[in-house]
Amino acid sequence: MNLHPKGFLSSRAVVTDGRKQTGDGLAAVRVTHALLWQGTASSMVDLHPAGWENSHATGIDGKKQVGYADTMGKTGHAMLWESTAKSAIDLHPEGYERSQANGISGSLQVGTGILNGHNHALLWQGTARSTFDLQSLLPDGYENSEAAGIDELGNITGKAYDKINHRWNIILWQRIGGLLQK
Amino acid sequence: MQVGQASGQATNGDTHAVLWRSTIQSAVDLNPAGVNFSVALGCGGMQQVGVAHAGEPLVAAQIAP
Repeated sequence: MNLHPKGFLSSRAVVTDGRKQTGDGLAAVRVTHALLWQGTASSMVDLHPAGWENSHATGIDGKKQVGYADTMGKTGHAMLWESTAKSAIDLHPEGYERSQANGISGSLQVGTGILNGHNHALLWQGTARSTFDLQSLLPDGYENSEAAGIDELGNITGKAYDKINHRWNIILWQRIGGLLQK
Repeated sequence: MQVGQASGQATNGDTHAVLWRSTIQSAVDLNPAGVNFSVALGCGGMQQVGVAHAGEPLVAAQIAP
């Protein structure tokens, strides 16, 4: 099924939950919009939030989508949508240089934020104020981390850089008894 | 289920979207007819998504095996 929407220079679908698809498309040269489909090109919904130059959708679960928006010369912010552009919620945590949401399951979103020049895996529950730094659950010695996805049980996959052994390790943050643990 | 892309003799050097179910032998060529480049980027449920193009531009595709 060709999902390419009319009026866009190019497009890509990057993730599906089995019913809907999300990704992005070039609305003009160097202008990318987050897009949502439900199986056909004509079903496309432009999720691009007002006030931003570019947006990208990277995750979907039912009626909600995550990704990020950015503007040239301005930092990128993690975004949460509920299937419309107007529904966009800025998840960017205060004090961070930039952020990006990569995955969503139910009411939880995961991604990455840059703080003092280092990536931190982040968890949100629908608002910027709910930001939780998943790197705080890792042992000393990790200086960068990223969260890539979250499943329906709240388990989070990602990676973290071990600065002692100079390597990236794959990390699973497991939800045990309502609490997240490494 | 895993998705990605592959190229080689079987694809005449073109890049084709591929679906796997945990083994090499399970590989399924998802390349749509008339397309000489496709990449699967994600999957969920019974669906796979990615990009494909027969020339220009790259277009979003929902791919069924």
